[in-house]
Amino acid sequence: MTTSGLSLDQAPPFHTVALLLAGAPIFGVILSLTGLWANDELLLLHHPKTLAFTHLLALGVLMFAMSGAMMQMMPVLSGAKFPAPWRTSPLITLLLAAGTLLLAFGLATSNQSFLTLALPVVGGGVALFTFLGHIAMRRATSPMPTTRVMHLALANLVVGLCFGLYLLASHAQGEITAHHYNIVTLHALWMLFGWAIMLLMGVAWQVVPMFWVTTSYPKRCFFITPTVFMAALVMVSIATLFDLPLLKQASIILLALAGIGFASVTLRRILTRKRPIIDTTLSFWYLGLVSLIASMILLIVSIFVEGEMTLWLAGILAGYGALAGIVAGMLYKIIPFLVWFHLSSQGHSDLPTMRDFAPEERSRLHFWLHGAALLMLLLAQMVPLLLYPAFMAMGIGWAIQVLILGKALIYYRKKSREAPFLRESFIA
Amino acid sequence: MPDSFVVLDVRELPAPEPLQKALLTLQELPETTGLLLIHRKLPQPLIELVTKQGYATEVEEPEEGLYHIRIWRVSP
Repeated sequence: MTTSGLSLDQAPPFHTVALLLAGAPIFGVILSLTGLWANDELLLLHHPKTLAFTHLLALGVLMFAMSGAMMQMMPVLSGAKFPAPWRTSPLITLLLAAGTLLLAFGLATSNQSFLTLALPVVGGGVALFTFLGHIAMRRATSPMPTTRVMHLALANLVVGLCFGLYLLASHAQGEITAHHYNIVTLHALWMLFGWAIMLLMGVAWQVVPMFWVTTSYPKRCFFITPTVFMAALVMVSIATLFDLPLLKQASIILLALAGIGFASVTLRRILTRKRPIIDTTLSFWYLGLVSLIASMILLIVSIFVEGEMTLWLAGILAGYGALAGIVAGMLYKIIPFLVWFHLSSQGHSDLPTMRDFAPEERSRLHFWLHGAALLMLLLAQMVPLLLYPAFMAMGIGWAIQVLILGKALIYYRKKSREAPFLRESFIA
Repeated sequence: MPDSFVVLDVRELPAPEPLQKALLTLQELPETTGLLLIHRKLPQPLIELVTKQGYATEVEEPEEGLYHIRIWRVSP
């Protein structure tokens, strides 16, 4: 008898994960409002408001969703339990939320006091999460490719965080050194490839075959892609710090090709799946993977063309089109499933279906708004007037998700009080 | 173990439909009848869930990527 597989007996209490997951779309709304406020200043790659917008996306939307997903998946897949999640998760949520807001406001207004305050708060939140994640992985009873790559992504997050804290300290003290933009490049590359795309890859290995009944990923992917990412990140760091432009360009091309490789293999699995049904989550994945490929191509092009526009477009495609989109899509699967499953485990049999928790027609509207916002953002470099409707569409989309998922969470809270006989006995 | 089992083949269903369908089928079965679930993966969450709810389970893996899971009620 085989005993390997998912074990929800190992899952953390629902509210600890829900706190982090629900934070992502809320920050999506804040992100959109910031976009409306900053408007055409966001068209400049290094404008303070662009930095604020980028960090609201990376720390607010992505970090919240990714940390919540890791806290849920690592114990379930590998027995890698986070220590005392009922205490540590609210603390991480608080530090990340406060730190992200302080950082974004400090960056947008170039306010050194806010930046100085943000430094320990956001640094503490991310450091605490990575430290606890590392402890969890040390406890893993059955490590597997997804959780191994999550562990690697956590290590890369620490590297990216160190570069980020250096930059933040520079901004806070008003001392921008000659190396500043080199460190910015390394911070961006380690966070994008080492943390976010690496984690996305690990999640995809697990959820794509599970949710859409595709063939499994070839086993060589579990070794080759992370190795290429790591080798290229080390090479680009050496090249940047020792001023070796050719090696730097080659490393960035290698990173982009690895990104294209991952996205292509995933697209191939989805396109050849057995059941040709398309749900909202899958639509987000389609658009996200195509955006990722386009972003990687533009990243390569940006090496050979003058100006910042190509890199700006690559950033929008990777950050918003791919990462934020896939996060939004996955939330429509994860939260309704966890609500349904935790209530079932409490003994409730009169539950709505998962689809009732996230009605397809409403979540589909979010997807179309997301797609429209992405398209208008890409065109905004030529037609800046499109920025306003783009951020409106983005904000309404995230607000729809807040309402849908908020309703599911309220239902959970209400219903879970009706079953004291089994409450939390199964999951906690 | 009961003499008769209702067969439910969920190999072509995406997660978490196998879990939902299995629980729904179990609710509708008479106590003397068990469920034989045919799955492409080992549904550990389902096994944990039904065990807590008073069911017994038995798993066979006749070939790689094919699981037969028998579930039947042992306590009210």
